[in-house]
Amino acid sequence: MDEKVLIKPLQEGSEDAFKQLVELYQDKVYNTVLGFLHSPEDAEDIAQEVFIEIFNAIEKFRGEAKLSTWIYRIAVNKSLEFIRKQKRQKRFAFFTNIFEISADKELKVTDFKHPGVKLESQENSKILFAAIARLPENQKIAFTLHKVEGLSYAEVCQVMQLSLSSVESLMFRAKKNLQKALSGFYKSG
Amino acid sequence: MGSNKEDIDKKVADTLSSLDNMERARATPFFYTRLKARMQMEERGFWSLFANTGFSMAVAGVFLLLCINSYVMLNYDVGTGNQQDEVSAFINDYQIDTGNIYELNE
Repeated sequence: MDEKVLIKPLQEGSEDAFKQLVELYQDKVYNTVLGFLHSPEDAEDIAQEVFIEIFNAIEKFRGEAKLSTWIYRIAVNKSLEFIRKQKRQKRFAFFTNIFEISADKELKVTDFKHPGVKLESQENSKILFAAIARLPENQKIAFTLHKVEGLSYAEVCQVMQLSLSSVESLMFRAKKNLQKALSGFYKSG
Repeated sequence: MGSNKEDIDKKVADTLSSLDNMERARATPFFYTRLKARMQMEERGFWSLFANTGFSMAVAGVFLLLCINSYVMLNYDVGTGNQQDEVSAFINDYQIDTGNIYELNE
């Protein structure tokens, strides 16, 4: 379905159009958010917030970017907001703060298994997701959108509002940082 | 030593390629139904604030105070000519005008 057809009825408050939009984008939004949050429960919650934000802000959508680009931007921003909020809460937690200072340099591998990863790669992907979580924000966005959501570099450029060379540079640095973090992880293990 | 480094390099390469050709995770079934329920609940939650008697009374009380305050401020008489005349007469009667201190010393 052409997304342009949806915009006008959405701006007029059509519930049918909103339902179609959700059905069209729910997997894309959920997968993107899951790529950042590594928790299916949090991803469901934030994906819902993304669509609520779309519903409330669609009137302001001027069509300067593609609807999908705009939706991806909201999904990325909501995910990063959630991560920042989690970090703030952890920082103010009393005892965890003391222990985190010493453990901060190590990769914290969680039990998160992305359902789209092949079975034989699941264990490795858990380590990779832990390393991605420690990347600087912009590198994390570029890497996640490209590798997890499967966007092309050109699409990542549009979502991040950066030039192609900037995105290429972010991807290059992300890969270097990941290699370094993974080498350290395997050497210490 | 060399084989150890090669081993680590291989593990790193395998890990880095673990997301290659991955599929998109799908939202759980009835996502839209749950989303609509949440939107309705949030909307109801907002209006239920006003349905709550205590909250309504508090808002009404603040509004009433603001009205009284505005009324008093708008109708407050800053000072009429008569009042100023009375003050001048009082100053003259009791000679408490400190306008020129040298006159008092003469």
